[in-house]
Amino acid sequence: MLRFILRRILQAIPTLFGISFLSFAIMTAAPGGPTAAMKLDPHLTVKQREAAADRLGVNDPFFVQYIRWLIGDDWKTYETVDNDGNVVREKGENKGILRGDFGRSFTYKMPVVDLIKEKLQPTAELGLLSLLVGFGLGVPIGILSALNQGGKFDNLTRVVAVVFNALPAFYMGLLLILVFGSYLELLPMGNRCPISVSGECSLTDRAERLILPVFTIATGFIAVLSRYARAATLDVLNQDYVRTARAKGLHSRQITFRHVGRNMLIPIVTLLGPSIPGILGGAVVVERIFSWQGLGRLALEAVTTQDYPVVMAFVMFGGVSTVIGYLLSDIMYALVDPRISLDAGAGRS
Amino acid sequence: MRKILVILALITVLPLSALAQEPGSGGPVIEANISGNANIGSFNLLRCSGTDCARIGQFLFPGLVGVNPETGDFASAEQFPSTALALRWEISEDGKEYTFYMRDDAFWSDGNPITANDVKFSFDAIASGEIESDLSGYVDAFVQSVEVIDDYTVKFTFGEASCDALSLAGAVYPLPSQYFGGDFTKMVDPEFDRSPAVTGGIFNFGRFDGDQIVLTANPNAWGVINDVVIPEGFIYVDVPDTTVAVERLLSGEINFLDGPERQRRQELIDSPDVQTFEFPANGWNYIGLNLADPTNPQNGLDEDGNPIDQGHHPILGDVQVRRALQLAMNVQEMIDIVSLGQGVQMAANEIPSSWAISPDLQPIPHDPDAAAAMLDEAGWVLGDDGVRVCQGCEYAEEGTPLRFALLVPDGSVNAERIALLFQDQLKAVGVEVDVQILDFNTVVSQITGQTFDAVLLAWSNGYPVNPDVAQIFNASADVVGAGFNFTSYRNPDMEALNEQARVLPGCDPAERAALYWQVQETLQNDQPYLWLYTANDMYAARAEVEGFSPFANQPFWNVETWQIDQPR
Amino acid sequence: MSESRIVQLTASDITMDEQRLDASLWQLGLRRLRRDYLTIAAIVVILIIALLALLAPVISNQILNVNYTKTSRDIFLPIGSAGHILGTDDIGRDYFSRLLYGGRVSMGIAFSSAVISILIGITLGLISGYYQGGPLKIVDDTMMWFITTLNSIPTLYLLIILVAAMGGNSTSVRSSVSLSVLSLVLILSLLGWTGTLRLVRGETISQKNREYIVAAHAIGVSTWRIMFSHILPNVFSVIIVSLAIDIGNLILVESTLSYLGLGVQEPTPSWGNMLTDAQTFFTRGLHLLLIPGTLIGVTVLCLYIIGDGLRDAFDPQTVKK
Repeated sequence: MLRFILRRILQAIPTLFGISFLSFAIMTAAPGGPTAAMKLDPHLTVKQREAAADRLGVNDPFFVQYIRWLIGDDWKTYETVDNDGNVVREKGENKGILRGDFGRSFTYKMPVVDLIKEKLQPTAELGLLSLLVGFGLGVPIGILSALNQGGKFDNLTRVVAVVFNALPAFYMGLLLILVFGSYLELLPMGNRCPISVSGECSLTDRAERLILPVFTIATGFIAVLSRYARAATLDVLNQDYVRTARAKGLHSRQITFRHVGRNMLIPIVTLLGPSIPGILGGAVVVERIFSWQGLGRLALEAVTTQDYPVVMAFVMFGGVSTVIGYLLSDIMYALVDPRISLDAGAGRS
Repeated sequence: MRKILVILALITVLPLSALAQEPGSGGPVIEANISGNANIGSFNLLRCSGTDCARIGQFLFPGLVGVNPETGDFASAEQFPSTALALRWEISEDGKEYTFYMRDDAFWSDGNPITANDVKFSFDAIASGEIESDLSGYVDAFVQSVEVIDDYTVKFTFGEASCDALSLAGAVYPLPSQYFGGDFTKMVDPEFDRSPAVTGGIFNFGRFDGDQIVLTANPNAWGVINDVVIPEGFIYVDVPDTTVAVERLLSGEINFLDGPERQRRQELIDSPDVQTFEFPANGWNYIGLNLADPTNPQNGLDEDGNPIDQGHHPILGDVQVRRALQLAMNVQEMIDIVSLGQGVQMAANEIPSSWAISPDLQPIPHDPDAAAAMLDEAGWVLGDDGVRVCQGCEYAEEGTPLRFALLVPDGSVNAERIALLFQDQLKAVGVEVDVQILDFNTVVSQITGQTFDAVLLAWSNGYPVNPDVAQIFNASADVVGAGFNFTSYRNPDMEALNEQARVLPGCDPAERAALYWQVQETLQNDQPYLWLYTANDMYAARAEVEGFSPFANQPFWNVETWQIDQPR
Repeated sequence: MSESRIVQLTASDITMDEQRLDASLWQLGLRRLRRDYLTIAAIVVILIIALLALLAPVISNQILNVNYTKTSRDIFLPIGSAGHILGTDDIGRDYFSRLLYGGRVSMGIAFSSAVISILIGITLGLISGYYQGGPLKIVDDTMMWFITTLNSIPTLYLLIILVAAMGGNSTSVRSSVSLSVLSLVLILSLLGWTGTLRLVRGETISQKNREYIVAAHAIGVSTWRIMFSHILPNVFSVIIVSLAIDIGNLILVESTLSYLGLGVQEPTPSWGNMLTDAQTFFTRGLHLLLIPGTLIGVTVLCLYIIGDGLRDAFDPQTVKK
């Protein structure tokens, strides 16, 4: 097991390099650059804008920027000439990501790691809860639907399970806000906690504010998981031993829970791992419409303002959590299905 | 469920509102922050860049120079009672030295007095260039020195006699030097940036939750009306979706909104639950035209300050064409459709509410016939497919169709709408406009690179309004890749008038305004921009906000007197 | 949510039996499909919507005589106004013809991106699978490294980065298909092919050492021909089934991008940008919000149902019974 994990981590290294290189290349190719917005601020003189660009190092060639981002520049000394004509020597300040320094956000002038840390909790709260709801509703719906294949319930769930997922998230979010927040005045229209000076925020307060956004996100999971569960259940029902069990007159519910339940876990477990990075990546649309300060919005803003350090940290974070997600998935796979041995069965990349 | 909560809240609040004059006895002001920004870097006004931190910083850090909200002029605390630190100021004979006499009843929240040393401390911090302040070059270039005369007297010396002096001095917000032990490098501190422990405004810093910025009433507030801050606090709450923001105002989840969605404004005006205030915005839309050859962008001036030949734009280089385009445009229709009638057509570069607006200069009227005649005269005649072509025109090759691209930055529905109307209006006189809606960064790099034909943009003015146009129309600002005079407009006479107004001895507003009138007249004539309009802006507050009586650009001048029932 | 959708609803979520699908299975599948009224209803609805969208120029120019980009002072006309069946929008453009053109754009983008990405996936999958384990296995390794890398970047962000980077959403007066639409198709198709690749690669690997392939090889049949004639038919049904779901997802992606300000730009209409714009003025006419929203919803829902129905009918796993 340990050897397997170790090997997977080693395998992930070239992937992570690829991710960083690819996204850095795309980012720097984009027009404008992080000083574009600054260019339209008439308070700044031409000189200041140039100085700002120099300070951010965005005028350097691509490879210089990329390597500085990787290994830092604290071993380098910069020489600049100040207003009085004196040469000023300054040491570089970046350690580079290989030493755990993701730099500071161009926009917010604060360490990127702190920025991401701040946003992670709201995002995780929303995402994990949605995943839980998605599993809780999607899997039973799928199983029942399969047991009833072709019947009324099956057809009904085939529509109901995906109908909410068929609407764009921002549209559904808005409709929910209009109906439950504005018209019925049943639920608050956004934010994580009640708006107050005291800052009191009980569990009920939080739950109340989670209902609509969680529902909006969970519909996606429900749609996917119910389809998975349905297909998996059909597979199992068609296995010889289950048919035999049925022929022997075992009650269908017994069959379901004894045989189907366990076998179904396999495909679902494979799904769970890969959905973790998706969740941690945040749901930018839902975060926006429900006034949720999560990672998704931070990342979107960083991309549009070309705040490279934030984008790159975010992409790396996504890469690492994907690797971990697949790893977890494989481990769970082995736990659920004893026929699979980890050391031999690393076929999936 | 929530209806019950509301009734309970009412009961608990009723006895409190009877004690109206107790500090912090009213409910909090809750403003929706619709900027959609994901975070805030620093509440320290010297390190703040962006609008969110400025919104909050104004409540935390008092300025040296105040503003009279009614007139929009700079004002000392003696001229208009406010938390401005300067009671009055004296200007030296040569106009280069400003001596500010500060009030002695101003205190930081840690009990220390706010003194001239704090002003000097902030100036030194900015000038050092070590605190990553956006102000550094700006203040550095104009302010020579700041001297402490005594604890409550401070003298600014400027490099030249300029009528901008007060705005430059006003940008230097004093900070609690004792808190930093006199070492401004300690200002680069995430702790102070994100939760400033020592402040001096009407509100103290409460907390920053990510989606809520909470300020609390300063019980020892000074310089406030009736000596007391009634609202319990000020909450700036993140609501990035503008549609949702209006819904939350209507439901009472928030009680103040700056700039509600235009299409929803009538609904807010009609609503008995909401009070509104509409005013001409402090900004204006325009279409900038590239007058120079777009295939060969050049700076306006060489290193010695001599003009460089920049060539001519084949179509827009001809002033007659530019005037014809202005005549062909129906600005009132744009106002009626895009801004639902809530806007004012502009004659030139000055907004109607500015003190420097020319009273005589009229906006150019919509006259498609005159436009057509003018284009004929300029050598652009109607072709078979309804598009004009060059036959003896000034700069383009014979047979060139009268067609150009209009760049529009994405993200603004109103700008897109204006562009589409512009396209249809010009089609009527045989001009084809290729509307290109592009990513903002792309637009910026194309216009500053001066390879564009025309661009639809807006300028937002500073406050108080500064009518100076050097940054957008002087040849020195015509720098490829960086300058704001991307139209490559050059008129030495206009520049001279503008400069004269800037450094006019005595800075008499009437005399300065008269000079700016001439600037406006010249610009209207030369038409480097097509003049559009300034749209109205709106503040909306819940009906229960007592004391809401804003002026343009000054919604919160009396916020300490606001009495809000029903805190939710 | 949308990002999780993009990640999860791909061709790879449908497992494939190794057994070849022969003619009788096709017949069996069709017979099953004919009994599945829900799927048939969905197919009919999709065909009607697609037909209307395809005929957008004919309907608006010839039958209704309206220009979908022409602005006018008649803003927010209600449903049933003279000359405007569904009224007008906030700058006086005919709403019905914009919906037709919008559908053309939205469905066109989704359909072509899905098809292109599947073609990319098939081609690269065959190549990758063919070289796997052989002397040129570096090709396969590189490919696998590349798609792992691609899959590790959250899709929506990769999309946003690409859209921002390609910037030039230039629209031209003359061409009816604007550049923004083309670049969007390009970007979307570059992102969606990894699932198909894995599927085709897996199938290729499992088939290439089979006796009949080795035999065909021995009598001199070209390798590529073998791959196309023997391997492709096996994966084809699964790919076709996933196509419906992919198109549905891409319609949603297009509208999400519009909401974020990165989608198809005016004056080209798409369901996504019409829905996004309508958010600000829905109080002037609820239909302006409800109609595009419902159209997206119904279309995507039908595509999901079709995908599901086709899989039920043709997936050998279920057909076997």
